[in-house]
Amino acid sequence: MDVEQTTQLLESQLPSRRETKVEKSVLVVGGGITGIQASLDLANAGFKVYLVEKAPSIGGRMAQLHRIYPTLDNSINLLMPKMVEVAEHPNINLLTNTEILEVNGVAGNYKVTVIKKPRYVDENKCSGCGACTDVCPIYVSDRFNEGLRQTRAISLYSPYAVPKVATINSEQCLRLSGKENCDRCLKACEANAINFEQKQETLDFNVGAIIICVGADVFDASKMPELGYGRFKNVISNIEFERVLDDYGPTGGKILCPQSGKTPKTIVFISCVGCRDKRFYQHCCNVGCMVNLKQAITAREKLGDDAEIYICFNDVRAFGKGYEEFYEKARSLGVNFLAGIPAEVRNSPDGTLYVGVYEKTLNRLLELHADLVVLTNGVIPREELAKLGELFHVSRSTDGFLQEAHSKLQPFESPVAGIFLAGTCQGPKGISESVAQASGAAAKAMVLLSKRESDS
Amino acid sequence: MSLTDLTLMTKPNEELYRKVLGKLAKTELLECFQCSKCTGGCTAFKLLELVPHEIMKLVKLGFIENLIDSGIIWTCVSCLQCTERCPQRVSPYHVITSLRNVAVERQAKVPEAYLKAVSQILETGLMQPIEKVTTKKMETVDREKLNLPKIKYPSEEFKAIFLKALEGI
Amino acid sequence: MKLAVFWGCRILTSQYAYEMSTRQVLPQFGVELVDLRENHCCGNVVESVNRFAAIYMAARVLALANETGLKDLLVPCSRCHFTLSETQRLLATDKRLEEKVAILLREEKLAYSSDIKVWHIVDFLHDSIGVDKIREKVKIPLKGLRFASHIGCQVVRPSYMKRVDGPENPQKLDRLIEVLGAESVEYNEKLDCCGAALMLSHPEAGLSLTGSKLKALQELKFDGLVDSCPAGHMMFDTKQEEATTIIGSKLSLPVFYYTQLLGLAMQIETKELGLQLSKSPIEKILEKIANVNW
Repeated sequence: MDVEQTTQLLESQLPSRRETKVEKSVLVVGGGITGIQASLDLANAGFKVYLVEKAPSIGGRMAQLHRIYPTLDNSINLLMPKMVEVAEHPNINLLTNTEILEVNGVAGNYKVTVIKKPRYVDENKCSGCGACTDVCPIYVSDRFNEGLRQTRAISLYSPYAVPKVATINSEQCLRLSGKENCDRCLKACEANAINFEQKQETLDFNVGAIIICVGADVFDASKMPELGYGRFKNVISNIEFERVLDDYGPTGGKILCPQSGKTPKTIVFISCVGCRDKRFYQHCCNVGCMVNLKQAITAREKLGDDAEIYICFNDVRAFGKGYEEFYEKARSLGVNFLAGIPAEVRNSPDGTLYVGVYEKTLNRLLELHADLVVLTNGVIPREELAKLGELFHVSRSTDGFLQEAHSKLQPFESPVAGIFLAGTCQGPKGISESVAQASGAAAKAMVLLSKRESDS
Repeated sequence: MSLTDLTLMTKPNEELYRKVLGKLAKTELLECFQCSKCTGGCTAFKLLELVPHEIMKLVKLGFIENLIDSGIIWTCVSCLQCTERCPQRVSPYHVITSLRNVAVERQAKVPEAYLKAVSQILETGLMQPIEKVTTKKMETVDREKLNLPKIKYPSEEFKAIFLKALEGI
Repeated sequence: MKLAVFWGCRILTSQYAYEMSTRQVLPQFGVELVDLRENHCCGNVVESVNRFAAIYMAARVLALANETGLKDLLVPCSRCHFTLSETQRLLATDKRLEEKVAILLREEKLAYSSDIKVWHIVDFLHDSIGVDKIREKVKIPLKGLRFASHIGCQVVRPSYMKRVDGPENPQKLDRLIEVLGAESVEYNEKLDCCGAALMLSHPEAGLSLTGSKLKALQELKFDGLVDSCPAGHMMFDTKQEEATTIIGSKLSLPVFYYTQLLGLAMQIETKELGLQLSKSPIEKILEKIANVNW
């Protein structure tokens, strides 16, 4: 045999290189600002996007915010145009009230199966008028408002819902849970949009890349009972206070104590609750310090100079662009910074909350009588990350967040080819960092999708 | 060491630092980040001015000699609030107990009552002698009068071994 | 059931009422108390002097418990309960320490065992006996009485090891009081320390802590304080008068061991429960519920 024949013989023995055709579409899991940004970047570049969101509306945490730091821009004013753009974009298939069931395949060609849960309302007919909500007899806790008020079993997810379509909570609804043959909403709906027979849909589609932006959870401070969360009504979390500050929130934007309904004279913020704490989560939540500054400044604006505002801190981490200036602004507005973390919050006979903090720079024990205590409940990994990990074969780092391929050089790629991470699911961070990661992940996905074929 | 405390004109003591650290089960003392939560909730702070987070910092920097000789380490009431709430699991209670052990070893100022308790144990096995008590009717009674069983005192062997343990054998 | 019991020092040498009332009430639930072969200190006070010696003493108590063949050890004193529990934890995590202690124990042919379950009166009654069985035995409901429960520091902390109840909102002793027909009312100072540990170095400060808590309870119009620790009872009851002198406020609050209250509800004689040894004005309460017989 000559050299040529040998080469041909050898080549015929080698396993053939499998070449996969690359799908020019992307699955984005999670419809918060991160998912929204990534979807828009990809869609505007000409790729098809499937944006899957578990909740009945996109918007995520940013929709719950009143204002953002350090610019103090109104959050919804910035977010809503993007949400509308997503809903109307020809390249984006928006799937809300939807969860991922299965993912198979390899980078360049994933087969995704999702379950679109029934809303019992026709998306094409509902106009979001709210007539059904007004007549529904069942009150349920309003998740968007962090349980600070109630909504009804049929309602829009929030005043900013996109799509603006009502959803029925099937467990609470009298008819769907089999308790009563109630049809009040059916009768009230002029668009004939209500459909109690609606079934869940299973959808399959193929994508070339996946970006995971499922966000993070907030620490439940009732696990730290010494601060009184859950026991004392006037102890609330940052996210609950954010809803209080929002003009469309449960108090119409007025700062009121949950216990008495009165305006507080003294507000005390307590930092690092649940985070930087070996009993719970060791990591630093990254945003707590800035959120406190933002809320303290907002409280000063709403309550005027007579209000006493204190922030009990361990460190003040104001590291980003404009952040240190924001810290100075808080100080200039007379927000008092106390260097020390209180050990506990106690009820006082006069109805205030007693907070004792050892101020390290004065070396004195200071006693505060607060009308309202706001806890900086830290950003923590979502519980569902374990399940998500199984679906997408992505692992978690020791802090419980999703593991990136390399913390410095590949912060928004997972170790699995074709699967990208963005936003707080990869680690706690603020909006600017999340948006940067979203665009970065989208760009990386575009690199993958720009190939005609991929090696598997 | 290159550090000096100009207020008290002292320098850190490396030997004492290693001694105290060696008595702790873990090294969490090093991870104290001075949040002062322990002091904020300390039972002994208001009455006796015990500042646990300050003691943690002093120990970490090696300024231990003054602590050993001061009465402040004997003001801890062992309520364990600091152990419960410390976010870095430093447990000032355990560090202060280690400082007390070092104080005893170096024969620094130790409250007499503790040493009396130890010598009582060496004598009877219990930390205090039997007390006679008076009733509401002003009668004086003891265990026998109250029909309580006799105390079964421990053997001499126990006391000898306890002494060995005290002497660090 | 048979239960080994370790009394510690204070109960045996001065706080007799706790032993008396415990020995009276537990057999009513079919419990036979088995004393250890020897009584000695658990090492709680020795910890400040020499931690290793203290651990040895606690380990020896557990070794004596092991000798009885019983797997459950009742420890009515809260401070002994903490010392024994901490020792169990330390010996479980530090093998070198366990060996050092084992060598000393072996000299007396004693062996430490890690599978002794250490009980306190509160969790034994609440978790093992259960409030339903206690309710069945109540003959005189303690109606109309408002008590403050004081479970004490060293049995609820630190929560990273198993304690008798939760650290920030303990409720077991309250349930035990309520099953007797009385009210156990929440109060802001519930978790405040009695100050007993300071008696060895700063007695006035210790009594000041005791006095402050008693004063607060008086102002809140409680009928009495219920504790379950000989150190706490020593401060609140035996030294109530001394505390009065220290804080300069007349203190006059009835203080009971929980086992005494339980005994009263079960109609056991006041003398058998050691109530005649009380130094607080318990007559105020007793007159309402029992034939006072000193």
